[in-house]
Amino acid sequence: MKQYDDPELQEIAEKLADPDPGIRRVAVLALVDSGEPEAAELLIQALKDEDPAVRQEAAKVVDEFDAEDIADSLLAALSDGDEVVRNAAAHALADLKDPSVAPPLLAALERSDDPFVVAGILRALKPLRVAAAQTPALHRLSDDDARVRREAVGVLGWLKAVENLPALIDRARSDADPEVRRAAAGALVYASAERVGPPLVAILDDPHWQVRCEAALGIGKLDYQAGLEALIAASRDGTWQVREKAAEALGKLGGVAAVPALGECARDAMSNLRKAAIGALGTIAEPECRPYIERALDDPDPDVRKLARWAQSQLDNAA
Amino acid sequence: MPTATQRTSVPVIIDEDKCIADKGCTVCIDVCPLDVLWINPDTGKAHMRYDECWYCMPCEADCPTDAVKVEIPYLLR
Repeated sequence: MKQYDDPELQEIAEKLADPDPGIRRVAVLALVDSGEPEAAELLIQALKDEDPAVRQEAAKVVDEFDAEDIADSLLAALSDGDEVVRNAAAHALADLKDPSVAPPLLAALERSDDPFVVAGILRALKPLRVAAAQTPALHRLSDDDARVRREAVGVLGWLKAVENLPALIDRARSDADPEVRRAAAGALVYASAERVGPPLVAILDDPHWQVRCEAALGIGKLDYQAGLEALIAASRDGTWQVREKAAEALGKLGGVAAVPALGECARDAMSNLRKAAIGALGTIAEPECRPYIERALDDPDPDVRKLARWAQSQLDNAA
Repeated sequence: MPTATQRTSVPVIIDEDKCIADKGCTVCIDVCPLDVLWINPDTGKAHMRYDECWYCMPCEADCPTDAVKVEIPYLLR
């Protein structure tokens, strides 16, 4: 066994070699508090322990260590039999944000079939934004597992490459899983309004409210003026969260045509929506907005009243 | 009138089957601000030695094996 200079670490190392898994587990707990750089080696050892409880305990503390030192072990831990360990490894790897780990991650992706592991690797690859991830991510877009497709969408969204748009639009419109559709719809906003505006308008009719929210948000972010009518329709959506996002987006588009619809929203029973509507009316700041804003000065919700005062000052400044 | 002379329960209950204090774990003991948890020398497991709980809960939250349960009195819930 390796000898350590630090007596505390030496003690932990001895305990980690104990035949009793309970004692090894407690040793992992002590490992976190050791400031010694060599503690990472012992953590790697614990990640490979034969006892799943010890590996789990080690996995729980991986984020306390510099992921760079333990990247190889984390990659190995991605194929651990225990889901807690795999999950912790994937999370720690995602924190790396260092392009030099991309090649091993891509290699691990190549030989992984387990959907959980594949999703974890894709999640770790996403922030690295390496072009080499594009082909495998496009390939995984048609994976059977929704978690994998969702992470593949994330990778492509971060790459912001125009050539990936058709694939992303296809996922946003026709994936079977709402979470994948939502992620894909949200990823589209890196493109030009002319390119992704029409599909986003179509997505406003998605059966799932969170996907509709994302579409409304995207239209607002891109300032896609041709989406105005569709947003006005969405401001009467059956789900208030969608109405709220539509109201915010209408404010960003800034057309007077939206004022009557926003006025309706400003009378909604849901105070969050009233807030969004008054905020949007204040942004538009046209004389047509004034009656709605003045009525909101007496709103039962203090946040709405506060925003109405702000909106009123916007109107006065514009006049 | 009969009077109770002894408490029959304490708020911090430790599941001895789950507790790994005998392996060297002292998480709950270290974390307790009132130092009321001790290791029972007979069993090697943690137990509540003094009934002076603040119901602050880290012992329950930090226990690596979920062995600690704090019974919060009804009126404090």
